[in-house]
Amino acid sequence: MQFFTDTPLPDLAPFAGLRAEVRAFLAEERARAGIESWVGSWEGFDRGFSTRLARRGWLGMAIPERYGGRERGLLERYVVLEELLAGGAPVAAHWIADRQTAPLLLRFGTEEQRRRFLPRIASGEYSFAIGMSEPDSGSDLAAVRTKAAPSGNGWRIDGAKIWSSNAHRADWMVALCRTGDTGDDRHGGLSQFLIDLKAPDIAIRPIHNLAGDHHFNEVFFDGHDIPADRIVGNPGDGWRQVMSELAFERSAPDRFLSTFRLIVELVRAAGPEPDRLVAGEIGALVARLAAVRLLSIQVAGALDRGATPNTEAALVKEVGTALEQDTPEIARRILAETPPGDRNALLEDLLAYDVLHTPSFTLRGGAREVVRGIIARGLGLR
Amino acid sequence: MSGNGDTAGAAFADAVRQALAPHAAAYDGPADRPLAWSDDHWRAVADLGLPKLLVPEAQGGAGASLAEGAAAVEALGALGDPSPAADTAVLAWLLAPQGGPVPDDPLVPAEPGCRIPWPENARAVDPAGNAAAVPDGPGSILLNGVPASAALSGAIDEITPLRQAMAAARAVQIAGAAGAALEMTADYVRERRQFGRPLARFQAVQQHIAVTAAEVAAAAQIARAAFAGLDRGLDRDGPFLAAAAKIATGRAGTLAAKAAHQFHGAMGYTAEYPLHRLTRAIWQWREDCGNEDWWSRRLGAQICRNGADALWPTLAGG
Repeated sequence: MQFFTDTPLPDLAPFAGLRAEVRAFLAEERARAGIESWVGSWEGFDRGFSTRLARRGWLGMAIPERYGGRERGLLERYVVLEELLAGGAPVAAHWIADRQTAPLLLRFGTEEQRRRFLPRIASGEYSFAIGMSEPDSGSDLAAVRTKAAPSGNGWRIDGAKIWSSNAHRADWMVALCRTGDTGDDRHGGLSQFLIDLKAPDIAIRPIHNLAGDHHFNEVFFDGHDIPADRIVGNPGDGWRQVMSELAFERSAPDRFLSTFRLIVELVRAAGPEPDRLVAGEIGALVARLAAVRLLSIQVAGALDRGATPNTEAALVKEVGTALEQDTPEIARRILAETPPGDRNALLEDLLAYDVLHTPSFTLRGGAREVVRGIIARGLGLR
Repeated sequence: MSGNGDTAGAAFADAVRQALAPHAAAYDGPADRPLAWSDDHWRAVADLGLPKLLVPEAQGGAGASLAEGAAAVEALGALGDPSPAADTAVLAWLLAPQGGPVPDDPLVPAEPGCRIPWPENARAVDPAGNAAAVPDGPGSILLNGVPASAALSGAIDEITPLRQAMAAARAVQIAGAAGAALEMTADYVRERRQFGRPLARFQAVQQHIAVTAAEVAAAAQIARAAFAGLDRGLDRDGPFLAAAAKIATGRAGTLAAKAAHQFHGAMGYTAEYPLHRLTRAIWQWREDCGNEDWWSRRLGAQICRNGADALWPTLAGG
């Protein structure tokens, strides 16, 4: 039981120059913001940042030029993504659109949809929110009840979506809705729709997380009418389309770099001559990170070849999020003898942020248990 | 599982599997029975060209790339092959740049902390690249039929190219053995019925195997990368990958052995059941040439010495 046994690891070395450019850009951005470091990982929502990133050509890198993209391939894009995340850049304004909406539309959208949406994703103009979970349908995505019914020349949407990060700031949502019966496998009768979140008859209720941040929302559709051309793909194909999106969501470097800056600050705190136990904790942690990163790069290579490596993507999410969740605990062990008063403020901020946000690491992109079920299916165990 | 075709590495791996599986299976006895050297086994290893797989053609070798070598070594690991075939391939590769003929004998590492596979006719290669008769060493725990007298003692603070190369080789072997142990386990739980259904139907079983498979998959990637990158030498990148590989596979191999035994039940713990050829190999290989903690401490020290701001460039390879 092995993966990628005869697939050479994609070589990212040719993109070293690109890495250096992104790092220099991030240094400028930190100077512009007047900060030493971003705290808050990729959850920072900053349209100005996204627009400047797009101007540098680092948004829409996997979108063909004829749709306003940069047509650079998924590996080159991967390098930019991991540099942004390792630097903690505020990428939330464009992240969902670039990561999953663009590939979704490229694969299943109409020509008209591609021409309308992709250039605006590549420029950072359109921000997208995810519309999958519902109050009664979280991990069990197939139980989605929000209804899209034919109405006049379009569709009428009734229902509610929940946990939609940044729906209160985003322009659009891709909502998974019920358009027919489930069928025997429970996966039938679902379709995806592009919904304009700025429409006045859509109510968006904030949900604050335990850290006090407002990312989550509940979004209500009460007979909201949309034109016929807002359906993505064929009616009833929603499940298959959503699953293809999730391979992108589950294998990207945001599944293992969320706590990376805490690791960096731990190394700084440990100093050049740490004791053996501290060194051992750091070495073991970084080794795990290095390993999952290479698995993630393999998945990026497979996606770049047009494959749908769903099982492999789930492997990345499993190991990566476990690592993220362990990081603050390892930090606590390393810092056990260092009183909070002797720690630098950034380290304290990062540790507190990561401790408070650890519950989300193994929920977003599919709860850990669901992801393990996907792996088990891939291994022929169910 | 998701290979992309007929690469040379895959061909080497297939050849290793076909030619050596019967020989490796001959070592399925319990741990307290020291392994007996098998001339037939070694002849099969030699016929495959494994000893000089990585030696340039001009010096009588097969001139295979390190990436192809990794595939062969992983296949050896998947068999739990206890012979010094992997050691010989790696050490011959280390000796080759000295020029001149590479010894035809089995080669083993003369490094403290690297347990020596058993053949008495082996030549031990030390960090300076000298090949000599196998030295005597004091006793050590006996995990895989390795004679207790052949584990070298001594200070092991220096990371030599030999230690780096052997650590990468052991990492790849562990990845192979761990993958094979999980494969065996998946097959077993699909067939073994309890409470009226196959074990594989129980979510507790599925989830445990899934978690372990993920750890093994990640560790295997870095093990292969470390082995394939050995020719970059002992620069900042080289020991980083070898160290991370030995740590990650030590961890993942331990988890795989644990899961494999758990789901095979008491049967898997018996001398007659072939699972322990793989798990005892993992338990030995994870100790060889520095275990996870030995490498973690040194990797961590190196990371701290280089400083916090060098961490990402080290990980990203530039």
